[in-house]
Amino acid sequence: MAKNLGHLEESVLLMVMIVEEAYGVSVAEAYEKQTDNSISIPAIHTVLKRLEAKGLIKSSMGEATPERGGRRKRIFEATPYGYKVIAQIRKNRTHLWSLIPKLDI
Amino acid sequence: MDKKKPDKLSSTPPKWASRFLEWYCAPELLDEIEGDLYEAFFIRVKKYGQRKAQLLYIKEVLLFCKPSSFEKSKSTIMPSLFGNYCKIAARNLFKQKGYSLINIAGLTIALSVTLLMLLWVQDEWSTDKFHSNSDRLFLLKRTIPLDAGKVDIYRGVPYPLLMAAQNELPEVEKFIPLGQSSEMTLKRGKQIFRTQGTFANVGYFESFSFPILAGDISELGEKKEAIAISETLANKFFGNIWQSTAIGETITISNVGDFLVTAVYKDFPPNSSIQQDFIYTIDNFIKRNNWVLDWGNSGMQGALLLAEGANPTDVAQKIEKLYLAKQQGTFKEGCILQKFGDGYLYGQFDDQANVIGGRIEYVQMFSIAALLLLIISCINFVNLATARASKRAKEVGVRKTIGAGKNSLITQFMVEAGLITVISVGLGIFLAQKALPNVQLITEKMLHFDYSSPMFWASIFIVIILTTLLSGAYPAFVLSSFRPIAVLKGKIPSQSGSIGLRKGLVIIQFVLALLLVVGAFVIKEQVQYIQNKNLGINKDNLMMIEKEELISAKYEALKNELLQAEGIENLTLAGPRSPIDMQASTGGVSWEGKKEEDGHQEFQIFWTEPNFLDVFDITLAEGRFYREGATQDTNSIVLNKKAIEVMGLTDPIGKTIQWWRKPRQIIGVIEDFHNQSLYDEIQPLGILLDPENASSLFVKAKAGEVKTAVASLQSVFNKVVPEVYLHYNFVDTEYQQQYKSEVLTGTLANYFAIISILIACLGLLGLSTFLAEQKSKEIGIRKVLGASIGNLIGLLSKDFLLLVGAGLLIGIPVSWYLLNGWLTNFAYTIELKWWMFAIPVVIAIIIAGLTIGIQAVRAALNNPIDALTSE
Repeated sequence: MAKNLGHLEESVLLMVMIVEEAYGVSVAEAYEKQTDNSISIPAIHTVLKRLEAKGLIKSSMGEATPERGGRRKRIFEATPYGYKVIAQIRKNRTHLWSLIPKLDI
Repeated sequence: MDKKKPDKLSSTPPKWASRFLEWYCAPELLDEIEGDLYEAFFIRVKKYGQRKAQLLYIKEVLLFCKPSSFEKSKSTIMPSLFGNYCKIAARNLFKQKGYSLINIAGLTIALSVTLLMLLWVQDEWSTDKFHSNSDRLFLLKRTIPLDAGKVDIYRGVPYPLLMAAQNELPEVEKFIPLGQSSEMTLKRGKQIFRTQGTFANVGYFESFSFPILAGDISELGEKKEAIAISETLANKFFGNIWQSTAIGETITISNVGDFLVTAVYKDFPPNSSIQQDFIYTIDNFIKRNNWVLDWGNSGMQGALLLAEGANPTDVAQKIEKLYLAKQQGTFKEGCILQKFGDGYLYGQFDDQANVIGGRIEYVQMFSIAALLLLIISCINFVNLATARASKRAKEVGVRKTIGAGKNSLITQFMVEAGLITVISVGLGIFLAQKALPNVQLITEKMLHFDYSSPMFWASIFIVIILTTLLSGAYPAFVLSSFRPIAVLKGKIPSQSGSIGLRKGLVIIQFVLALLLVVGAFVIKEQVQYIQNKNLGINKDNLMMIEKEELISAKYEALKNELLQAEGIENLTLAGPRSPIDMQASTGGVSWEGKKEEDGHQEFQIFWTEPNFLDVFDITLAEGRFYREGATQDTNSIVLNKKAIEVMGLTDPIGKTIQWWRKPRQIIGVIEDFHNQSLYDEIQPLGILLDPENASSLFVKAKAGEVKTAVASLQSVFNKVVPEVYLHYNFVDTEYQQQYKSEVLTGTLANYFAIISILIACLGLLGLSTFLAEQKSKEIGIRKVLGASIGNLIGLLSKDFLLLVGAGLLIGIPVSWYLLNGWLTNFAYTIELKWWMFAIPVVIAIIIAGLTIGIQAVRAALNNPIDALTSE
């Protein structure tokens, strides 16, 4: 399960879950705010497309707004499978963290 | 959908970028992509300001421009229809045999030229770049300060500087002496060969990638009599068993000494600018020429192998520091490093030591010429296709009605262009292969097409794509944009746009063609000018023989015999090398009234004997030349006029100057003659009486008796110095050799000129044929109404001739400007004369006129009934 989820993909997937209305710009904004890294819109689009192809998120067309020059949004939402994968990743991580003998935080 | 933009935001993303995005982006993706970019733009304006936001917007529009954003439909239809497109293209090709022939013929010729040119350019580019250390190999060059902070660049550097660079700087791993390659006579028993070679050290083989096939190269540094020879030479001396027999054998280089063969190296690859058949140890050379160890002598050329990670700029500064410490006086020489691989193509520097060109200019010139030819032939395709668009308007209409999209029509027309290109490339490769032996002869390079290399096919592929786009894109765009209803109703779409374009393209064709023809003319004139220029010295019927020790020893006897021999007029010893290509100079000259602030002044040095002026027909201006048997002349000097001018001496005869820290009295002044190539001005020159130092024997044959003279020369040599292997070069041949690239340019320019006119006229032929065909009814009616043949011919050809005329008119200033630029390379040039432009213009008009005229006459002579009864 979720063997091939890169670091960026994982972060973006999390952003999609965090953000209330997740579409290109809002995900990019959230990513920049939470991780302090900047990311371009084309890069976000590519990652979102890849996540969708893996079945981790699904999308539907949303409303047009004036800030977008009258263009509609493609709104993303995590699928149940997506939640399952991210939970699995978390579990694996926690397990690995618990194995570190000298960790003292 | 509300398309209104919010009023409160004054700034908007750049319009052109949005338009570009809307053009390439698939409609179903536009909402999310453009919407997101738009929204992000306004957020960024607030965050970073308008400028940065706009730049980011543009950047991201470009980043989105990738296949996943494009319309899907194109790629899904392609495979299934591709076969059909090809079939239609092939049918069209056969249906219009004449036009196909014109297109294919033009493209084939242009493509074969392009392919040959690519081959040559690629070869030039690869020269000296194959060394595995090439990023660390640098040439060391010397800068001589002129006035006002300017410098001159010389290849020669002091040998001790090369050694010091290696010994004192950790950044320099090895130094590589690059001795002048010279032809020498090699002997082993009864075998005698004459071939190119030089001296070098072990670093030479350790730094360059010249593999050793047998033996041990390190002995080149240990033994004073070691020699390494090439595989070819080893084969000549020892046969094909050289691998077991060559090492340890002795070879004699006449005039130099006996050497032990310690290594055999693989022949240097053809794309190495260095070609040596043998290399003997530099220690031997130094033993015989200890002047090279003097810091004041710059007779050696050299390269350095820098350590990994060394910064060449820093290293150059450090070497210069070493050099400056060894010099006195105010004007000190410096040095620079140039990448070894760049030395071949970029040999020229400006007076600030920046690279400004060299051989690369020729490479660029020919690449551009080949590209121009390709453009001319692509223009033919564009013109014929758009002119004949009306013929295919109905087809487009029907296809669109049935449901073909614009994209599939564009693809169809592109496939047609592609098919013609592929056929032409195939024929072009064939033609280029046929022409290859001639090209090898002209360029003196063993060029060949490597059909097994993927690089070759990759470049063929690129050529195909480029040509298809260049020729097919515009017609495909025009043809596919017809509106089905209009064309099916029989309305031929207005073509004012493409008619204008067509005219423009014909004009451009003739501008380019004229440029190439005038170029050919001017280059030929300049080459002839160089070859026939009065140098102030007679170089005809002169043979040059390297002076060996054996010749020096028996010179008197040899001279007496030769002077009595048939066909020989005179002979003299002179040197170094020859008076038209002087190669030794000195800055060590001072004279009365010389000012330190005048900067450095080089003087050419030449040694000879008293009859020098007679042999070379040089005129004495003042005073006298050396007298036979006058011993006091050893402290005298003869200067040329230029030297007197540089020194600013009035009444020079009898004055004393310091020449190499020794006083010498000026006894005579000779008229200037060209002692350098015509790229350079005549240099100030001092001639000393010292036949011992002269390097060459010049034998002058009587006019028209060169063959007899050669025979006498051979028999006298056989009699007086039988041990010497006689080898001579003609001075005027050597002179022509200096201008090999100009002669090559001239030859190639001729080909380019002829081909460009040919292709441009092929296009005219096609266009005028089409026009005559289209206007056949009009001509018929006019004829019935009484128009004369003359009228009709005028009607048909006037427009084209105007275009050709306009092209030629524009071409004149363009070619004048470009050729004037080329001529400034030379210090002595022809002037551009009106007839150099007039003759090509007249030739072009005649050829173009004939091309159009034949079509016009044919159309005008047709029986009007044939044209009018068809409806």
